[in-house]
Amino acid sequence: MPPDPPDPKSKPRSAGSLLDAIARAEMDDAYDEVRAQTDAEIAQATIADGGDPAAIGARGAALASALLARRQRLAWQSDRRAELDAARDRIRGIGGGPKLPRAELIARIAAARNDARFGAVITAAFRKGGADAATDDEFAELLVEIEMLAALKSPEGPKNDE
Amino acid sequence: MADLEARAPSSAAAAVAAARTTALLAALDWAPLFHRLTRYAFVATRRRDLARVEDLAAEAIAQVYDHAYQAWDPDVHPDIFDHLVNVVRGLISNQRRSRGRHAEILRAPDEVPDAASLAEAPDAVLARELDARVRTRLDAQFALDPLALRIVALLAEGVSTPREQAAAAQAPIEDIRNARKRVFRATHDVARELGAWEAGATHAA
Repeated sequence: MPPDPPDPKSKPRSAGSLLDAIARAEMDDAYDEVRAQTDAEIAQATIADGGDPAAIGARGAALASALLARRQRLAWQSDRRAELDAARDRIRGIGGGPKLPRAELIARIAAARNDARFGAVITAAFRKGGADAATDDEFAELLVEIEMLAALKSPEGPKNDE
Repeated sequence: MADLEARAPSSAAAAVAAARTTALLAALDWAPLFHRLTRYAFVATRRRDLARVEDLAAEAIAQVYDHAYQAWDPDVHPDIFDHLVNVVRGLISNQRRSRGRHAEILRAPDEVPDAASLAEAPDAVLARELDARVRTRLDAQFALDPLALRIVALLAEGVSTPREQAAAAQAPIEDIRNARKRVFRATHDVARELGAWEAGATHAA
């Protein structure tokens, strides 16, 4: 019988550890073998190897049922994790932009002062000396703080009430 | 601030995806799926221990249900069996790796590592020595089986699928499949003898 033509989709893999390559090939073959079998053929094979297909299936179903209940009970963890990841993504990159001119810094801080979320922070920052005495770097630092607060308190940010 | 909030990824979308996954998991018929996965683990580990491979399948399912692990993405693997197989493969490989790391018998007591070896990471040196020993033993074992010998060489070169090997060796694919089985069987014996994979029952793949 002539060999099958090479699979055009397959690309030669770089040679690594021989043992790893053999292990991967064996697992690939196992996948092909099991994939090609019907449920009935798998059951027959399991019986031939001394197993009980019905019992194995029942144990799997019971396990999945218990795990589903647990997953549903702990769904809030997934929600909180997603919120935390989103907040981290928002915070990442804050303050990394180009240096802003003083007038722009002042304008942004003035805009934030009108936002109830940040008014107290800005007032506290300028309690001593007032805004006129602040350097550009101090303005920039304050703006970063405000942006972080915005990221954390935005509708997508972590909830503080839980 | 508006632009900052606008570029925020949607945690709501992630929550929706998680809920969708939960619904899909709940709708699956787990009895035949678990049985098939157990079968895969059994075949991949050279049919050694049904109870232990069932543990592997159970661990894979536990990971799929656990929010802390990489989620099953139905868009990537529409059939969850493929995702579960990947998890089982990872579990088998991890077992093997951790056992192989302790295969200190590889170096004979009178062997002194050369300077180049000492400069490498210990794991890399160990892996290279292990490969050399495995290759030597397989070459000797298959001295009278040229097709198996060719399979070993092709695998070492990264030519991994039966089709690729059939083309390279100019041999029928069924002959290639049978030769691969001989190679796998011999490799397990050699690896066990060298303490590379495991001394006990399972694990193989």
